[in-house]
This record gives sequence, structure tokens and C-alpha cells, in this order.
Amino acid sequence: MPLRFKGSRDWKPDKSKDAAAAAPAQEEADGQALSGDLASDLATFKSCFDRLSDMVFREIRLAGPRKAALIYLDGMCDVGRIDTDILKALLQESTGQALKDAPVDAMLGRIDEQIVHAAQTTKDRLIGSIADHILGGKTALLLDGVKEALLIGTQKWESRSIDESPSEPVIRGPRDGFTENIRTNTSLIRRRLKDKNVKMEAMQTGRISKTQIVLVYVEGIADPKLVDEVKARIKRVDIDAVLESGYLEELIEDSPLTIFPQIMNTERPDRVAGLVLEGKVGILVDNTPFALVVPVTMFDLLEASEDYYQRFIPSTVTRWLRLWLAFSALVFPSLYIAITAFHQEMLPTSLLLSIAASREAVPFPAIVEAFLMELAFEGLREAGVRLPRPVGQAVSIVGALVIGQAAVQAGIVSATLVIVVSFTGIASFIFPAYSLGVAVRLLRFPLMIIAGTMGLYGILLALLALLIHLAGLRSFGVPYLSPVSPLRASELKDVLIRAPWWAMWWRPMETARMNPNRMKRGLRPRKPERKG
Amino acid sequence: MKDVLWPWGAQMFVHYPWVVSMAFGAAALLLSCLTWIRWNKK
Amino acid sequence: MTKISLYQLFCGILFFQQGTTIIFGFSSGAGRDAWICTLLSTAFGACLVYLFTVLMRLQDGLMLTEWFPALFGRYVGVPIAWLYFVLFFYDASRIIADLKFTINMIMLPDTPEWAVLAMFMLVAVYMLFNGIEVLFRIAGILVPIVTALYALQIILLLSSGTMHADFLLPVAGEGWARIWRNVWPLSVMQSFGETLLFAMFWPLVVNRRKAAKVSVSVVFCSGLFLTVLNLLIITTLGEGVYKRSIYPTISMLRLISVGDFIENLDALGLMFFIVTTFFKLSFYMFGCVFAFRQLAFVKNDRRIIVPLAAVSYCVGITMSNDIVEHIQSGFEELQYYVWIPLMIGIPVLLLPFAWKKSKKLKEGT
Repeated sequence: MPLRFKGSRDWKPDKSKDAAAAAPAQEEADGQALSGDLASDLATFKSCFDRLSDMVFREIRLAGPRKAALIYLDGMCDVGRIDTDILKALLQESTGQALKDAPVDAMLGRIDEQIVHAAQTTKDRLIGSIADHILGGKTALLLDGVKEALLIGTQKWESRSIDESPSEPVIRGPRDGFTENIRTNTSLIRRRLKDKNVKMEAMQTGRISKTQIVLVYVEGIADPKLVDEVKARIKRVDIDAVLESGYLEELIEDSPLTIFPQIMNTERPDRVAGLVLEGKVGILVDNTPFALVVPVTMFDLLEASEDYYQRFIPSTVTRWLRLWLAFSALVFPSLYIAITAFHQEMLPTSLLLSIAASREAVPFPAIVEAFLMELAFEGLREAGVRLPRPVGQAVSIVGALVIGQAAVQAGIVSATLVIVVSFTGIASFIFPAYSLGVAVRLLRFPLMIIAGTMGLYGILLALLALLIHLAGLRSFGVPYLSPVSPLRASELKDVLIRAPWWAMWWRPMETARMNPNRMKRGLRPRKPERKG
Repeated sequence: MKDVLWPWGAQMFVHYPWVVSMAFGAAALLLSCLTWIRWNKK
Repeated sequence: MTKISLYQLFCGILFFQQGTTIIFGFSSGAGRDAWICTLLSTAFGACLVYLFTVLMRLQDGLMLTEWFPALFGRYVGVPIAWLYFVLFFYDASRIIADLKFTINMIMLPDTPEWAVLAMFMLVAVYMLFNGIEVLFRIAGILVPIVTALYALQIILLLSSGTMHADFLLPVAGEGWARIWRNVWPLSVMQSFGETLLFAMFWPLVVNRRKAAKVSVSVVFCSGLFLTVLNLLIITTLGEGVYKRSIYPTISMLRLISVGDFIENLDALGLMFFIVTTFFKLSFYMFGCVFAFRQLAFVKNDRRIIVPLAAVSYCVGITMSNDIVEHIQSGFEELQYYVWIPLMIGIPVLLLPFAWKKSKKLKEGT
């Protein structure tokens, strides 16, 4: 019996009479306008917000016989402000005087412009959108006899304070990370890029979650076609809720079937700001600290923002180290398997003898022991994420040591393999972008199987296939392996090495073709001239 | 497999090389029929 | 419309021309004068490739198999074009046969050949599905890496102390006849004649005039690489071993021994072989796919790729029973009965027709 609920493919609307009566009534009510009669309007809202126990209806009387009501959602509003800035202002003596002689039509306008102490106000007529606003934290003021409602911006809710992002720590660099509040996040970017050309376009997705999304880009650098494409893809998303930016990521990317990420997600505002300056588009999603940046190349994913804050020579070496470790994380266990199983002649004799000795007691072929150890390691790592913090550190270190040592002594795995697996494990932490790290870690396993069946030949063919796959991937039209693949020699200085800041005149051509000049030439510091 | 004389095989080539050339030509003509039949789908 | 940059074209042709020579050696029949042979072949090869580019320029934006129907019409032109399809197909299958013997003998003696080749073919099919653009891109990425590793190998060879410059002497001691015998036809045709395949891809390059220049300059670069390879092999192995061995590079790499610690790196030499062979096979198969697509009016490439790969695989596996007859048919019969007519004969005959037609077109406008 297939599950029938709204949204599943088997769902058919219930044809019984009662349901038919209830549903369109709701739809109608949403499109309805305020009637002007306070009693009936309040009744409509009360039925609309039926069983919303946190909704508050406050009825007051203004200037004599004029009735009014305030509707707000407790928990999403700043109740203190409602007290002092709205209720107090409305219920004062002077207000009563001011409003006594006002004609009905102008009353709301006068309240808005002269009486209510609020920084943001809007007016609305439709019940549906008024309800949405109230659910978003605004306070609605309804007046008897007036067909409009005044919506006052009183949103406030508890949110986490700004703290260092736990997934992307740095040694040098700012330590503020995004929080779950989108307004805080936009302010973190605004503090870094205080220019009117830095546009922040708001959108909304999710039928039930009505999540707010903000697109950040610099007009004049970012390609307008790219911005339009991003907007179009987000508008295409018709889902009940977007709870995290990951939902959006999977729904707007170019190639959903690959394990490689084509959209970067980051908690660091300095990263987003830096990438936006290169002509990319940042996507902030409410209720999650992870912002998305689009389009992204594989080399962007291999860079850490810290690379740009340290001096260029250590950063260059760090980059090489990172590339080397990234490659090892993918290939090292497979190389071990291939060489010990098929190509023993390549090892120097003494090393060969010691490996042979350590593998003497092991009953399994190289590939099986490698698989066992790697799986155990992955299991430990994944479990370690969910361990409660005080216990976590100790258990994972002790666990790894004990398991490794015990396994070697029991003759299940060889000591060399433990070294290989631990080096690989450490190497896999080198990825600044977790999503890329996961992809590489997963690819290790098929590569090990291929190495076990066809040795170095198999590894080479598999790496070729991987290269083919990567060379064909695109992220919003930008080839994944730029600037190496459609070769742009001038951009290689940010990929292969980290050129000093005074040499990075151009922005990447793939995204910033409109405005490639980043800085003035000749900024390289010179020794000051000696005087005298 | 070893003793069969494939028209493209090295055995054939070494002993009767002109057979292989003929085979090339024949294959080309055969495939041309495919083109001629489908010429109108251009 | 896929566009290929000049750098990518250079890299693609470079890998293609290196092809199988990395393992089998180039003009090994000339013994210790093979390097002279190589230099001469390069010169002739450059002329040949120049001829091909002239034909390309005269035909203005058509790929190889489009030349013949355009010049000779439906009934004569089409069969000639199909002839080239069959040529590319046969050459692709030949590469599979080369691989069959090499991998089996050197790298994975215990693995069944059909499995090894099937894996190779699968990756090639994946490549075909991804399109020609990706192939050239990968060529562009891998050329610097492969060149760097190649240079590393040379350094290792030098520091192993196994090279003897006197193996080169006496230069041309056996006479120039031996040298010329090896230049023509084998050495010229083997890498440079095969470059005719790129006439299928030249229309896709960004700038056709420069593409011609680049294609000829690659010949010189390839020639340089091959000359260096020959010098290395001769000074390490000497004439006798070189002439008689089927896999001279493997023997040479086995001699690398630096500090008792880096030894037996022949498996790495095979890495090069696999990469260049993969490119050669992929290029040939793309040629087949493009030709078939154009001549049989098929819109969807995918329908061509899988059957083509399957048939090529079968033909390649059944082609030869052992490497000796494979090499003999390749070095002798193949040249005279297939390659020379198709790679030199027909293009030369084509030249006057193409020239006349382009003149007619110019006068017409």
C-alpha cells in the first residue's frame, strides 16, 4: 500500500465533500482582503491561526470609540518593544487627542507616520501575506473600519553569538564565523565589503519553511549571466522546506551524480568575501551558518583562506604539501597493495625484506588487510564525530593505538600497513573543504580494489578515468579544472604557488572577465632610500 | 582461435597481404552502401 | 561548438606521435645509428605533415572524411572516405593487439589478457562518451607532468652510470644504406604519417592557420624526444641488444640503480607507455566515431561508440597469435599494402584536385 501524503507521487486529492469544503476555503481566505470590520477580521485570523498557541491577540481602544487590535507571535517578537514603542505610544493621552478628529481613512497613515516608534513598517491588505508577516515576527495592527493593516517590524529571536567556526579553524585570520541568523551573516559580510556595488538580493524558498536566502555579489565584477542563472535555478526549486544550505546545494548543482562537490560551502565570512570579490556569487541561507559560493573549481576547494594571510613562501610550500598529501590520501594504500602484490621488484631489497617479514604472520592477502584497516579507521573517525566532547579525544587516540597495536600483535594486519593507513588517515584531513575530502576518501576504496586486481596498471587506468571525469565536470559553466585545464598561465600563479599579493593583479578570468583588474601595478615594496 | 585465418589477422597479412588490402576495399564499399541508403537522411 | 586551443593541439599530437615508440623503440633496425635515422625521419615527417596541412587549408574547414565526398562526389568520394574509417579502425585494433602482448609479458603476467584489455577499453569508452574536448584537455594537463617524469628518468639513468658514449661509435659505420633503409618507409610512416588522423580534428581548433604551424612544429618536438630516447637506449644498451630486443626501453629502465635503493623502475616506463597508448587509441577511436557519424548520418554518438569499441576489441584480440608475427606484419606488409597508399598515395593524388577546386572557388567569389 503506497504511502499517500501530500507530495508523494501517489497522492490524490481526497474527493469527499468535507475535505473539498475545507481546502478551498483556506485558499480563498489567503487571497482575501481585509474587510474593514474588526470583529470579522479578527475572527478570520483566529480561525487561520487556529491552535497556534503562541499567537497573541491584544485588543485595544484608541481615541474613544475606535477599536483596534494587535496580533503578534510570541517568541518571534521583541515583546518589550511592543510594550514601550507600540502599546504605550498608542494608548497615551496625547495620541488620543491627535487621533480624535482624524478621518478614518487617514488614521492608519497618521499612526504610522506620527505615533508608532518603530524603525520598519509596511502596510498590507491581503490576509494571506499579513499572516506570513506575522509568522515572520512582525506585529500587525488592525483598525476597525480600515481595510489595511499596519505591519511593524519587531522581529527578535534568540541566536548563537558569533564564534569561531568549528569546522574551519585557522592560525592566522579572523575568528568570526557565520551564525544561524541571516541578518547577522549579511552584516558580517557588509563589515568587510562596504561598497554600494556589493549587492544582496533576497529570495525565499520552501513552501512551509519560507526560508530567506540572500545572494551576495559585486555588480561590475560578477557576470550578470551567472547571477541570473543562479537566481533562475533557485527559483526553480519547489520544495516544502529548505532546512540547510545542503538541500539547496543538491538542487541547483550542475552534475548531481558525481561525488565531487561543485559548490563550496563555508562558515567563514572572509572566505565568502574573498570569493565574491573574484566575481563569484555567495548564497546565504537562513538558519544555517554554512554559506554557499558558486561557481567553484577544484583548486578553489583546495585552498584555505589562511594561505592568503601568511607570507607567500611558507604558503607556497604549504600548498605543495597539501597537494602531495591530497594525492597520497587517494593513492597511498592502493600503491602499497599494488607494489606488495604485483611489483615487489620495485622496492629496495632491505625494505622488501622487512615488509615481507612483517607480513609473514598475516593470513590475508594485502588487499584484504588494507580494506579491513581502512574500514576500521573510517568507522573510528565517523564514530568520533558523535562522541561527547570530553570522552572523544581520549577514546579515539587510545582506540586507534590499541586497535592498531593489538591487531599487529594478533597477526591480523602487518605493522607496515598500520603506518600506511595512519598516514593516509592524517593526509585525508588536509582538505580545507570537507566535501572534497569526503569525495577523495571514498574514492580510495574502489581504487584499492582495482589495485588489488590489476596492480599499477589498474591504478593508472583508474586515475586516468578519474582525470577524464574531472576534466569534464563543470560548475555553473566553469570547467572544474580551471585554470589548469583550459590553460590560463597567468592564473597558475595562484594554483601552483601562492604568488605574493603585489603580483596578483588579475582576477580569475572565468568569473571576472568583466573587470579583471584587482590592483595597481608596481605595488611591490621597495627598500626606502637611504638619506645622507 | 589460433588456427583461424582472420582477414585482418597477422597470419593473413604475412602470407597473403593483397587479401587484406582487398578486405579493406570491400569493407569500404560495403559501408558505402550504408551511406547511399541513408543519403536522404542528410 | 567545441573549441580546442593551440596548446592542447600541440599536446595531443605530441602524445599521439610518441605512441608506442616509447616501448618498442624507433627505427631500431638501424642499430647504433638509429638516432640519425630519427633525425632524418623527422625531417621527412615534417614535410609529410606539411602536405597534410596544405590539404587541410585548401579544403577550408572540412575534416578528412569530408574531403572526398566534397571533391569527388557521392559515388567515388564516399567509398574513399570509408576507406579511411576502416584504416582508423584497423589501427585502433592494432594498438589493442600491441597492448595485449606488452602488458601480458611485462606487467601482469598472470592476469587474463581479455580482462586487462577490457579494462583499458572501458576507460577508452568512458573517454569517448565525454567528448573530444576532454581528451585534448587531459593531454594539456598530462604533458607537463609526463615530461617532468621523463626528465627525472633521464637524470636517474645518468646517475646510474650505465651510459657509455662510445656505444655510438663508429657513427654510420655500417654505411648509410642501413640508415636509409630504416628511414623509409617505416620510421616516417609510423609516427608522422599517422598524423593524418588529425585532419579529422583540425576543423575544431581555434585558429586554423596557426593550427597548421603548430602541427608541423610538434613534429620537430616529437622528433627531439625520440632522438633523445634513441640516444639513451643506444648508449645504455649498445647496438646488439637494441636491434634484437622487442622492448628495449624496458631493458634500459631495468638498468637504473641509484644508490642501491631506486631500482627496477621498468614498471614506471610502462606508465608512460600506457598513457601515450591510451591517447593514441582514443584519438583513433574518435576518428572512427566522427567518420561514422558523418558518413552514416548518425546523430547520437553513443549509439556508435559502444558497438565500435566492442568490435574493435574483438578484432584486436584476434589479430595476432604472438608478438613476432604481429611486429612483422606491422613493419613490412602493413606499410606497403595499406599505409603508403592511404597515407601518402591518396593525399598526394588529392593535391591537384583540391588545388583546382579551391582556385575555382576563389575565382567564383
